Amino acid sequence: MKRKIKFLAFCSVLFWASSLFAQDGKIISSSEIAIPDSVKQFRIKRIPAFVKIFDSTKVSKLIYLSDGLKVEGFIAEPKQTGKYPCIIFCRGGADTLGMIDFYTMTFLSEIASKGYVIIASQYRGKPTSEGIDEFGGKEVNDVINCIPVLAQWHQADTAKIGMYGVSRGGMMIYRALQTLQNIKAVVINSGVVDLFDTFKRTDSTEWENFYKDKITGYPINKMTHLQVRSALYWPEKISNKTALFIMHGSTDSQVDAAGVISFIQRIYTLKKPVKFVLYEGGVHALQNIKNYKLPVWDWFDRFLKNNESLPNLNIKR
Amino acid sequence: MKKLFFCFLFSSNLLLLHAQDGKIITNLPHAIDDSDKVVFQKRFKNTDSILSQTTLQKITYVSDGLKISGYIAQPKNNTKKYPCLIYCRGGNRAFGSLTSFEQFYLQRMAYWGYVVIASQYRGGPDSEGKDEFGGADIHDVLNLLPSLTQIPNADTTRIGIHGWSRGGMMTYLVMKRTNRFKAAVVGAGAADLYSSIKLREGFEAAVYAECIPDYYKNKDAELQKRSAVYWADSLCKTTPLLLMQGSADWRVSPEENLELVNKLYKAKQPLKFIFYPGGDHGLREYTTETDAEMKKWFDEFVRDGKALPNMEKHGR
Repeated sequence: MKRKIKFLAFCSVLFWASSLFAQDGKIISSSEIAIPDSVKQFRIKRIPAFVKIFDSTKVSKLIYLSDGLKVEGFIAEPKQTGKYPCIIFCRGGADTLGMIDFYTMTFLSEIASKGYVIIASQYRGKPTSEGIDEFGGKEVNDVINCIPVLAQWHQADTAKIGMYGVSRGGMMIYRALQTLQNIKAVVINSGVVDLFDTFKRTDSTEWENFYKDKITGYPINKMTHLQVRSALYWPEKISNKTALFIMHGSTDSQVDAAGVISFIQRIYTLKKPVKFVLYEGGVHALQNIKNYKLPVWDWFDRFLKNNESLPNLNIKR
Repeated sequence: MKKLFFCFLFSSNLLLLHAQDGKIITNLPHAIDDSDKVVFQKRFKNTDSILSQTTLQKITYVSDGLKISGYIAQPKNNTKKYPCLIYCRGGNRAFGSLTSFEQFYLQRMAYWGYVVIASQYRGGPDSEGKDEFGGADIHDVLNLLPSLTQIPNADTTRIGIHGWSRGGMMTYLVMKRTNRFKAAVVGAGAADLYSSIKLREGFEAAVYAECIPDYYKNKDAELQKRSAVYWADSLCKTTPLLLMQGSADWRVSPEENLELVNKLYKAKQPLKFIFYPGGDHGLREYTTETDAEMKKWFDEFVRDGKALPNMEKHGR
């Protein structure tokens, strides 16, 4: 009898858990959000083309489910009705640093204006979402679960999905690409590939404390936790059906380009399609590189919008 | 003191010998064959305007007392001065020499507003001497600097250098010896000569052994002397380098260039590197893109004198 009850309890837990995951990506709420005029004007003043960008796109704020948690996200898309290829944007930073704010939304609008539905997760954790952010841990699911979110989105053509990440967002994409095999094109700007790198820095103690704070069980399994988050140590696990475009600044003080160069060497040896640009004197996120976005649009155009097949990597005689 | 005196005597002797270095002794107009023109017209929409707005000359100049063949391409409008580019060809001896395709390539660059000069190297077509594949033939490139001073429309305060393949090796060798260049562009440059021994059957015997003096006797020293991966830290740091490499190149291995990038990064060389997936040895899949990158690099650093990038880690 006792056994039976235990079994029943176990079953109900299973059922509860599976129903939870069945809800992965379910949109709980969504509403259009207005970017304040002050932010718009700030952008327009520097880049007049933003007038047209703001006129032709809209942004929605949403709450969606991921592993049963309510997570905040944003979608920017063209106002003109239609089906558009999708891009999952992965933000950088942690907690409030690098959060998707109105300024980030203007950037999402810029991408949307090129003819994409772009979705961005705030990731689980304070201050906007339930759960805790593990900096490359389970919250990677919040990125993966953007796909079922897109499936509910009217203008999204989910046969064509790309990803775009900056800094920590790069780490999120590499982790997601272990699971996702159907991503057509990826662009990574100043992406993290090697967390061990932080120990060579002058502020390494701060990083150590940061990892302790973020990663459950960090002190016990330090090596494992860091390796799991560092694509440099498992390049073979990254999908080879995805056209990768990786770009990095040679004087990035946040993410050392050395690790990225080694990563490219490994990715090349594994015959994965990768374009790599190292920018002379580029800082983190390439903020000082004029026009760094042009090759980005070109990449998404080629492999996402225009369905170009992957480059032939065989040695050509 | 005696030593010093001999040293002086020796160097003044050298000066006498080399007083003629770079002197242009013949200079004749040269035209691309009509049959080739048709090929270019198919590939490059602006072929006609390139050909009508630039001139091509075949020259002979002196280098280490040898008569060396070369080409000059420049804008037809000779009412102003233009920045200069030295182009380093690939191949060895007659192979990969400046045939009509390369000649037109020089004109394509001249069309951007540059005086472009290129050497066949010693041992190449119409040149005297013997090609040492990155040995004494480096002088044939360096001696184009005094040649440029004899061209009325050349502004020799602004010079860039450019090379593909073996011409990349030549560019590195020159960047080790002079700080004259405001910028360099290398496509699929040979950076580690050992890799062709490993990857290209027969290459060592047919090229290295035939070109490099006493090759088998001094093999390691001679190969390393020519391979920038061994001395990436001694390239001129005031010459920003744009390096482009295709991942499907069979002549120059992508590995050696990725290794060079690794070393140049550590050496804080001002460097932009572009790795093209599926690009072949000439990056022919990406010509529009590589042309634009190259023009931008030269326009910024050679023509307009843009300041060098800050190569210390910075930013937030």
